[in-house]
Amino acid sequence: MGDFNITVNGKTVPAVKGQTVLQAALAAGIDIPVFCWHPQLVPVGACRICLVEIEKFPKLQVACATPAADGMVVMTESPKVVKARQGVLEFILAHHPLDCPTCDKGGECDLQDVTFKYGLDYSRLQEPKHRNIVDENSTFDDLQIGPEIIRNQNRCIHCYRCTRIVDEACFEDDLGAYQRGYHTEILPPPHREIRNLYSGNVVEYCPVGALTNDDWRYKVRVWLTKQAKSVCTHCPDGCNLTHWTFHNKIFRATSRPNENIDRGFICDIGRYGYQQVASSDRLKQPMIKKNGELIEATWEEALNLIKTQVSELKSKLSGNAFFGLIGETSTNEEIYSFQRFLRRVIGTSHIDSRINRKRRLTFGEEVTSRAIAPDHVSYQDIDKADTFVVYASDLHSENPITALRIKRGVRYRDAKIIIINSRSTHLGVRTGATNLLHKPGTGLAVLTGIVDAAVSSTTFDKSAVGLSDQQISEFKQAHTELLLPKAAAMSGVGESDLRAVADSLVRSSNVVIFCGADFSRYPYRDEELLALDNLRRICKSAKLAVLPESSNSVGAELLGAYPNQYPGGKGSDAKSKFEDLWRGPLPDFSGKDMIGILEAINEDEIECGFIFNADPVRVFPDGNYADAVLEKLKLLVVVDSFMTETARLADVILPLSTFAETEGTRTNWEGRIQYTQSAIKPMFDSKPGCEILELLADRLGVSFGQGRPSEVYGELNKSLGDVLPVRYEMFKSEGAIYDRPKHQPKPGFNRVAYNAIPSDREYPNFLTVGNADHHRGPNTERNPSLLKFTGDPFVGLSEIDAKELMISDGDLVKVESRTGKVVGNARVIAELPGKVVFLPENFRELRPNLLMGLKEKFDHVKVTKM
Amino acid sequence: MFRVLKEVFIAIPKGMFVVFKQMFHKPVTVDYPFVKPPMAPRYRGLHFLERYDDGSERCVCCGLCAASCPADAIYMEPAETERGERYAKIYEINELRCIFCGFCEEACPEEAIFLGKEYEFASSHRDNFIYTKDDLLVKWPRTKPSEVKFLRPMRRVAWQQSEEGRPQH
Ligand code: SF4
Ligand code: SF4
Ligand code: SF4
Ligand code: SF4
Ligand code: FES
Repeated sequence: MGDFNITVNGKTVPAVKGQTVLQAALAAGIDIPVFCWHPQLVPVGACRICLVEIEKFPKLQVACATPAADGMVVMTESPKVVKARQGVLEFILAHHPLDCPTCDKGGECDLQDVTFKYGLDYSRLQEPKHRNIVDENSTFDDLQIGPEIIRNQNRCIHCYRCTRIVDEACFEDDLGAYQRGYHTEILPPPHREIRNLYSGNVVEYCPVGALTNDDWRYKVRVWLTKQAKSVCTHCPDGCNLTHWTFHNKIFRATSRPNENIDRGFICDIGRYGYQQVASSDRLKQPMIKKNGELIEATWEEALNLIKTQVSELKSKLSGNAFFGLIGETSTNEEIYSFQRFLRRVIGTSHIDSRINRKRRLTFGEEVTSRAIAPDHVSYQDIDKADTFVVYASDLHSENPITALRIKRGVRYRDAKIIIINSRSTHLGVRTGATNLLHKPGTGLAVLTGIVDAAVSSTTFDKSAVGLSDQQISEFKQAHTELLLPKAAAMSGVGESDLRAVADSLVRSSNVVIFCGADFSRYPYRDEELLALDNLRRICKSAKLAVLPESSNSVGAELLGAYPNQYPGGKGSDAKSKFEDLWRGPLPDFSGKDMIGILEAINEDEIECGFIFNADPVRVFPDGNYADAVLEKLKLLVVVDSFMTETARLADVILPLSTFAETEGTRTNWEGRIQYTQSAIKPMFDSKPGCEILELLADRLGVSFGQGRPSEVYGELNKSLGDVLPVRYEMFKSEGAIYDRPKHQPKPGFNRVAYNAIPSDREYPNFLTVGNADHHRGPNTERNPSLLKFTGDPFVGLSEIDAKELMISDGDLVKVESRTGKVVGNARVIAELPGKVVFLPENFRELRPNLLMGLKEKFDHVKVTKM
Repeated sequence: MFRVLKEVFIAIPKGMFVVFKQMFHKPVTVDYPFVKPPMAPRYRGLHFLERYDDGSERCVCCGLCAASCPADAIYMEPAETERGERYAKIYEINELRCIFCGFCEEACPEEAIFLGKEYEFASSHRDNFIYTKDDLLVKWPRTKPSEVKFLRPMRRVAWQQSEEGRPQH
């Protein structure tokens, strides 16, 4: 209950201290119209539509900015209020064009709704309407102010939600208000465009149709559409989306505010990332390879072919000659069905989902023996933390909404942020963070240097963090090469900076450490985790989060898409339990992982495979090797939505429905399991994953009778009740976090071994892989709206290297390594340090995995001008 | 028996009298199709889409006619001209579904769609009843003067002139 009560329209309403009248009323279900107010923004009282009458106040007050006080008596619909609102509307409409018939907002416009409720049907003002003319020849005054965003200044009601969203919620700076009065214009700064990663939000939250986007422009009327609850699949943040559909086609995606995750703001990748569903390289029909060419076939033909070929191979070989790979964007139900299909029907344990070996989240002996594991971190922890450490991650492009939460903390709670990376990132630029920019591959030195700085400090209170003198001296002895002056020299980070960071970490009461993609790309992943754990030990309270690669990586880990793990993380002792559950014998517990599988194919031990929603040729580091090896298979069945590089090698292709057509659950990085509705019916001749897997199993003689995700989840619930205590239906309302096992790490510091990256004369540059602006991972390039932001694929070069090689923007350059080469246009990136070459991993034409040798530990490359 | 006689001698002649009397009246039917009856002023026949005086289409494809149509007879798809204006790329009315209620005309904010006086549009094929934008738009240049009075430009003038139209404040 609240701190005190106020009376709204004769009803007693509880209010909390600090709440405004509006918030108290809304919480009690009393509606007050608003234009400029938004729950995530500071109230400004710009539009005056929320005027209410409060007893003892001589004049009407704005509900959105008046704090509630004990005993207030508020009237929201009294005649005085209604008349005032009429007046406000009359002024707003004085210069409003009433474009509704052509306006994209028509039908969901706050101004329409409020005018319909309170407005007069005439105006007493007779002067002509002010018109902001963009083009004399056109009656439409639209101006493109960003790659996707169109502004119509005439419709703007000057509520400043857009500029405040950009500033206060997205922490960007590319939209502002210029001029005054009704000449006010909403524009990006001179010579710039609005193109930040969250720019689509201004369109969603503009209360009128002044800001619209190309994506939804003049496509369909909003009242014709149906809405489906969905969850974004482009990154593990798991933002909630609404897909708006009409005639089995998706027309747009908007946010579906979830207090626990996105709070109503999503990034453009999620907003425009639905477009790939209708991409032209969707697989429309099953295909069969005949005489080296893929030709279209029916489901019946394809399934029969798989049946005869698999039975023939199985009669000759054991289950060990088969393998399965599944992509980590698949739903939990698909992942579970897939591993069950392989284990029970095919009889193999060679299953993996960690296609990109450079981004695996599993760690080696050393780490497991010390019982060190990432903590269970959630968004709520971000809200509580007062210091963030972002290690080896371009968080802004990898986990945009997580980055937004962090920025919120930095802005509103004065939290500190420390970024340790070998390249400068957007997050660091926008938050005024402490940036420790180190030489490539020296992250370990930075981490150990910080720990040393902390424990050597005279003010360090070791008992507060449970460390003993002996442990500290052991740490110093074990890391003589990585202690302070040496660490600073090695990494190129100033010694005083390391000390300052150590000092602020030790003082902080609540630290959250994030590590992302660049972390898992290094070959010293294990050592780095140990070093990060050391860092965790010098803080009073610290949590360590390792951000996974894909939207359901956590689910893949949980549901047994790994070779030496049954669903629920169960070990070999659970074999008989699963044999009972699946009513049949299971193969040996241990299987091969991704690298092992490719090796075994190369040595002709494995001859047949199933690849589900994954593209190893495109993402496995050493694409040439993956390509050559998969080519050798006797039978390759690819189940995918798109014509991928891997699908081209397949003998049989089965068309899979995309995320928009498939119902199911996914697990985000926190471990929150969320339910996605299917927005549209399967397009073309495609089928949802669970149905395909059931068909395959049935054809091969073992029917589970679980073609629907809810049925699969039912079994999951039964078999893994201890891990997944939530029923399927419950996800439909909101997600639930599953409890990850807690670890009890061994006391004392870990010993970290460090090997410097050897320099390479022939290939002097170091390859860094990341995301281009508005892209994430290999799946986003099928979205035309996102391509508008990036332009063509490029090779990023530092200014120093560009000057040395006499390369300027746009020149054609060749990037070579020992294993391969790619050719692309150069782009000089000011933030890159010397000797580092940046390649986006988002474009098919410029695949960085061609440059990565399987045998090479480091990615050394050479750039030449062509 | 008596009843039969009464019928023969009273009822039949009475009926025949009415018949013969009608022979000298003017017939109510007309010699269609050579003669056409006059239409009621508010008759609602086949739709047409109007144009502005410069020949451009009035319809902006707002979808309100389709939203108001109780028979769901109207289908449209919007698009954008090179000058950034919104127009109907596809605009179709299924005249077999239409119940000629006139709601579409009523709903149209641009005064683009009207129900005309045309009623002779029989066909032997169902598909011919789907009227596309080409069929519905009035020919340009006009072959005959427009039959509709546009209210939109006049509205403002109307309340400026009449005292009743003025707001009561
Ligand atoms: S912003 Fe709203 S009121 Fe204004 S023209 Fe668009 S739909 Fe109509
Ligand atoms: S453009 Fe929209 S959000 Fe921005 S000030 Fe105008 S009405 Fe408000
Ligand atoms: S006249 Fe009535 S039924 Fe016919 S198209 Fe118009 S609204 Fe629909
Ligand atoms: S005819 Fe009128 S109501 Fe129908 S779409 Fe065109 S402008 Fe809108
Ligand atoms: S919502 Fe209160 S003044 Fe705009």
